[in-house]
Amino acid sequence: MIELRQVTGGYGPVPVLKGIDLTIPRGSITTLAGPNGCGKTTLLKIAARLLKPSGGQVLLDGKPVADYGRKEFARMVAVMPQARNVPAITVEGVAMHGRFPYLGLSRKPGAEDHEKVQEALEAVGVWDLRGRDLRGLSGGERQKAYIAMAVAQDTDVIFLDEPTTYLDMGKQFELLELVQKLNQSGKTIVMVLHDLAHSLRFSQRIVVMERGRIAAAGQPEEIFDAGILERVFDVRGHRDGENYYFTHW
Amino acid sequence: MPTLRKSFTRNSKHRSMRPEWLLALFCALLAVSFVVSLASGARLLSPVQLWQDVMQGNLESATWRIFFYVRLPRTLAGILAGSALAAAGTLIQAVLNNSLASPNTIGVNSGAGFFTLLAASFFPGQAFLVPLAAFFGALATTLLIYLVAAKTGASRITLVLAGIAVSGILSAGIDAVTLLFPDTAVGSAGFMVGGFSGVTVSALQPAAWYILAGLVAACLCGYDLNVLSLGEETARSLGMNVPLLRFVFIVLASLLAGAAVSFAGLLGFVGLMAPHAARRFVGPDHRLLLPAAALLGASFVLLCDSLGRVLFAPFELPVGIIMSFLGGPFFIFLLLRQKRSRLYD
Repeated sequence: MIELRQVTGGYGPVPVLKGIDLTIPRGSITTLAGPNGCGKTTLLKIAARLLKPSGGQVLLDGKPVADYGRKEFARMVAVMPQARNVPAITVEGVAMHGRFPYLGLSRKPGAEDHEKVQEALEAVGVWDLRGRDLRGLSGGERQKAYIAMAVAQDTDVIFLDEPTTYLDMGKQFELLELVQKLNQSGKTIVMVLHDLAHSLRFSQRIVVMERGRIAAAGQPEEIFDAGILERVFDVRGHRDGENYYFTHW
Repeated sequence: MPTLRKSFTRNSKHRSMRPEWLLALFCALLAVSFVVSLASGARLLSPVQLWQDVMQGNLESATWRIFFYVRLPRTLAGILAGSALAAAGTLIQAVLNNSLASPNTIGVNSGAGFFTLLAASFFPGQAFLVPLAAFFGALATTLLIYLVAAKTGASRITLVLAGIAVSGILSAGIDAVTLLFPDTAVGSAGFMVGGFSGVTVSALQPAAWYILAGLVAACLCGYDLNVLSLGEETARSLGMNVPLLRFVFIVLASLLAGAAVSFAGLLGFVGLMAPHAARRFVGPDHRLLLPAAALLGASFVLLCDSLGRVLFAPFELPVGIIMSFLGGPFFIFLLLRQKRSRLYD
C-alpha cells in the first residue's frame, strides 16, 4: 500500500503539488488524470521516489520510502518514466537490466535472473523480438520492451508514466490490455494517462488532479457520474456500456 | 528509417564474430604494433642484431642502448597514453551521453595540460606531483563541462562548443605559463601537440600506476555504464546511485586523461576515434567496449608514432601531429553524420 500524506513538491521554488493526501490500495489499477501541468507526473515521481517531496511523507507498506535501501526499494517498485533513451541494445538486454537490483557486485546474472527475464519476455509478448535491436523497433514494441524490464524487476508495484504516448489507437488498446493482464497477475499499477476514455475503461480507481490538488478520487463510474471530469477538463462526457467518449460542449 | 536499417545491419555484420575473438584479435594487433614501434625509427632495430648482442653478452651495444633507453620507454608511453585516452573517451561519452565528447573535444586535455605546466613551473623536480596536478586539472574541467550539460540541458553540439571555449581559455593559460617560465621541462612545443620524444622511464612510472589502476577500475564499471545508458531516471528506478556513480566515472576519466597528458602532452583525437572504432566492431556493450577501445587506442597511437618516426627520418614528427591530421577529418565526419541522424536520436 502506498500512502501520501500532505505531500508538497515540484522542481522550482513554487511547488507543483500543494498538499496531497492519497492512499493507493494494493492490487488495483490507479490512474492519475488531469489537465496539462496539474502535477500528475510530479506526483508519480514523488511516489516512486524519483523526486524528493519538499514537504509531507510518502509511505510504502507503512514505512517512509526514504528509509528503504536503493536496491531494496527497486525490488518493490518499478517505474517506466516518460522520457526513455533508445540505446543500441537488444530487447532481452533491456529486460535483463530489470534484474539490476538483484545482482551482486560481480554483476553476473544467475539462473534465476535468466528465468525471470524469459518469463517477463513471454508475459509481455516480446519473446520473439528478444534478439532485436531496440532502435529498429516500432514505438509500441519499444514500449513493451521497457514494460518487460519492469516485469523482470519482479516488483509488487509498477508505475507507468504515459505508457500510450505516440502509439496508434490499436496499439494503445493492446498496451492497456497488457497492463490489465499484469494487474490480474497480482501487480499494483499506478499510471498517468492522457486519454480520459482509456482512464475510465481500464482503471479501478481514478485520481483526478487539478492545479496541484486532488479534485476527486474514486471508481470510474462514480467519478464520471459526479461530473467532475466535465468540470475539470471542460468537456461533455458520454457513456456507452463500458466505453466512454468525450466531446466539446 | 532506411539510414537506421543500414547502420543496424552493418553493425550486426561486424558483430557476427564472437566478441572474445575480436578482443583476442585486438590484442594481436597491439602485439604487432608493439613490435613495429620497437623496431622503427631513424635507425631500424633488428631483432637479429639484438639477439646477437645478447649472445655475446654485449648489453652495452649501441643497439641495446637505443632499445632500452629510447624505444622501450617510448613504446610503453604510447601504449599507456593510447589506452588511457581511449578509455577516458569511452567513459566521457557514456557519462555525457554524447558521442562527440572526448578528452580533447571538451577541453579535459587542456585542463590537464594547464595544471601539468603549473605544477612543473612552480614545483620543479617534484615528478610525482605532475600526474596528480594533471588529474585535478582534468577533473575540474570535466566537472565544469558536466555541470554545464546538466544545468542547461545543452545539446551535443553546444557542449562541444562550450568545450572549445574552455579549451581556448586553458590554452591561453598554457601559453602564458610557457612564456613566463620558458625553462619548464615539459613546456616545450612538443607538449602542445603531444608526443613521446622526451619520455623517460622516471617520468612514465608514476603515471603508469595511475593508468593501470584506472583501466582496471574502468573495465569493472562496464555493466553499470550499460544500465546508465538507459537514462538517468530508469537507472535510478533500478536502484542505482546515479550521482555517485557518475562522479566515479568522471573521476576515473580524469585520472586516465590526466595521467596520459602528464607525460604525453595534449594528444588529440585518439580519445574520440578509438571509442567509435571499437563500437563499430564490438557494439555498445561497455563490458566489451572499454577493453576494445583501450586496445585499439594503444595500437593506433603506437602505429601513428612509428609512422611519425619513419616518415621524414632522420627527422621525426610528433605523434600528436599525425593524429590530428587523421582525427580532424574524422571529427568533421562525425559532425556531418550527427546532423543527418539527429531525427533518430
